[in-house]
Amino acid sequence: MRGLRDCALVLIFTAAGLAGAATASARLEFVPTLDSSLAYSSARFQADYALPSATTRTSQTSSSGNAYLFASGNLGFSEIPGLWITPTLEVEYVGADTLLNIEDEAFLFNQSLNLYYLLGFNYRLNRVWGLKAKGFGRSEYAAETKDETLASGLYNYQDAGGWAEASANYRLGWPMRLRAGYKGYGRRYPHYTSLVSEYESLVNTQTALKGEYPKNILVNEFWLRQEMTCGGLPLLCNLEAHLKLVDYPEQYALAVDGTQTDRLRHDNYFDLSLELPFLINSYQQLELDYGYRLHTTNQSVYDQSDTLPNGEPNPVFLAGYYDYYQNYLRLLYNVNFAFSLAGFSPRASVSLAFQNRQYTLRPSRQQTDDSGTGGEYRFDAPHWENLVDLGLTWRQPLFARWFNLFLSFHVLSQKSNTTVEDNASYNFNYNTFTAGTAVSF
Amino acid sequence: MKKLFLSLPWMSLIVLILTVSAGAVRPIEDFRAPSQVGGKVAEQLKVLDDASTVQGTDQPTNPDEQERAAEVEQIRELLRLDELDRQNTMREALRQENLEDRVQGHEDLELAMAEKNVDVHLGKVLTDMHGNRVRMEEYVLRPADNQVQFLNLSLRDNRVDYIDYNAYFNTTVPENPHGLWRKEFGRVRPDVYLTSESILFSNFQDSVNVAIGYFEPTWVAEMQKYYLPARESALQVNGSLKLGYERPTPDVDFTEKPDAVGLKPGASSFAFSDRNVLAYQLRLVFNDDTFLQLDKYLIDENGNVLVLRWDDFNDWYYWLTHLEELVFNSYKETIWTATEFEGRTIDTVSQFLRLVDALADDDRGWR
Repeated sequence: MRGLRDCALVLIFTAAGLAGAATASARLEFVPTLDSSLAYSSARFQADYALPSATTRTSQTSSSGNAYLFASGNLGFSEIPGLWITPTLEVEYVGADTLLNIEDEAFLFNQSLNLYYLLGFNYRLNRVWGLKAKGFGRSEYAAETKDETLASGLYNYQDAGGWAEASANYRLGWPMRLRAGYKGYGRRYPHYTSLVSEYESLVNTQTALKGEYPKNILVNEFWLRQEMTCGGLPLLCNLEAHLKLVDYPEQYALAVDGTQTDRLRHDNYFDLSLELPFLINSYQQLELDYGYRLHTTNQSVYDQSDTLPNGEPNPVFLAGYYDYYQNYLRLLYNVNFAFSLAGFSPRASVSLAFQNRQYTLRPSRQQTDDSGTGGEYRFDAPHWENLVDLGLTWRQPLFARWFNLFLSFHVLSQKSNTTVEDNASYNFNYNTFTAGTAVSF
Repeated sequence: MKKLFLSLPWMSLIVLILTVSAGAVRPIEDFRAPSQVGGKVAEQLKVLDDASTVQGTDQPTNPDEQERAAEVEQIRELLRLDELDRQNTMREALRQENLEDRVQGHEDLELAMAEKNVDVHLGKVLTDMHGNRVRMEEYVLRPADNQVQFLNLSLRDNRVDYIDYNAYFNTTVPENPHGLWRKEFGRVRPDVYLTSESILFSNFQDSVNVAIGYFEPTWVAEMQKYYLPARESALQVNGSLKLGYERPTPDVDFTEKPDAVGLKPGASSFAFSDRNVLAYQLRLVFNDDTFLQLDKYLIDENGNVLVLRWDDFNDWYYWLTHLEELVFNSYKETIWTATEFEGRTIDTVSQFLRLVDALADDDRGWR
């Protein structure tokens, strides 16, 4: 049923676009845009807390070949000025020689293939009002271990949904633009089923376990974005508030005793962001971004593997394990160099970002080398993570402006007060180097 | 933004950076008033073109006409350039729109990455020593008021192995069972305490079951505290009682249960694997000449077998202070084999297996 509903949603957006096209006659304008690249990446992951001679987990390297394509065929109609139908396809393939799982949401896969397809329209009604509506689908395939193929990856998922955004240009002393939007989509993990749901005979008690697809989600997002120039300065001020509501229709919240309740999991993400791009001159741009996020959920964690120093079981209920707030600051500098190489001006981009994420209720776990308390939860010291990210990108057009060579280097370092790293590192450095060619027009 | 940044696949990220940096100033340009040049030029051209059409397409002969024709050509060229400019502006505007669509899409990736991240940190997914995916799910159940059940399932190679642990208490278990597994208490007799516990390892066909029963908390005058003495213990392989001990009161020694097969004297063995003290093999040989073998490894989340050799103890102080860290940061892969299994194995991966170590304490009845 959900599949049908998702398909219907995409079809509605498609029909809306085609209806516009059908009323149009005469001249059709076709403006394709494309971004593509082929590249080689090398990554190195280094954990801070080494276990000497005992393991190879503290340092890993991986290299990968990457292919990327983003193509959009924009269709305009002479009789409906301002209307563009925008079918779009995005494809990315990554093939890595070794698996590299690292903390903080960056993964390299043995293989991954991401397809994103979008169909909808942009419609500029007049000089003030604009409207966008898009339906989209996404398929993510990833083979992350030796026994997985692209088609059988545990975390493969499909999305279907749509979004719409209205914008208004106006002046209040200075030119301004207000944008308001909504996005809704469903995500389905076809291979991620609850193990116990497949082996119900194990649970031969009256305590039933519920939820066959615990990762499936339904997402509703709302955003409001105000863009404005600041006086006569070449400075933009973009302020955005974003609310994301995530429902897990097959995941139940845990009770204090670790059992499932009848309440479904529900997460909220509230983001506030401020972007200040400043055009220094025709060749240079500086941007300062700040972001704040608040994440709350009714889901908790029950750690039944915890033990006391003497080895006795010590199951712990960790209420609000996922709740956090974070502050993010980024400085970005873009430059088009005045000199030429191979007939074209090179471009460079440098970014430096800091992020602090503070978990409000999750206790940290800290090493205590000289006693038997290693691994104990510290409820008096909530878990935090600090991250620094430095990125450098160099782009050099060759032969034509639309053909580029590029080099990219990233240094990412994270520190945390949790130094007992049961399953993955909280304290690490992660460096990547990428070289490749890109075609954009 | 940072989450967005991290959640992007690297290639799309780089292309995005390139695209954004190329069009970094575009938002400012969006606020510029549209050029009116095109309209004016077109208007003028139309007037001139009309006049030109009336006079035919032949080459003009008089100077006025030549001048006028040159003007038309000049304006046509301007229009062509203006049209190019319009197209380029339009293209750039569309590129900007497409870029926004792309960013809009990439924002959705963050949640997917977060889901993986959570699973890795909570130990729900890992890679075993062969590089294959292992999924681990652990559940807590309360089948009865006085019972707590921990269920661990490991999935790999399309096989599922599980551990089913049950603890029974003397009375209703409070909502938070923190501290209820203690076997030693203070001077105050506990209100809630274990009466028995069992742990079952199985591959749905074969099983190894370990069970321990307890007396009530007993006061030990020498230690000036209560403790929970073991009353009986049993080890079963596929339902057959291989080992069993019992005693009528806490103050006497254990005796072997009469229906237990019993250990064959001198036949059992224990050895570290390749001098690695973090991997060992325990082989029990019973009086009926059957065996039960336990191979236990410490592995990390990527399936690497952790190695600690005797030679590494040169820096003994370091290891004394870090050994616990090593143990706490690892998974235990436990492989059971037995005569009754006919070549099959029970192979589980768990952090929760520390329970087994707790159960295997001599004081709980094992000899």
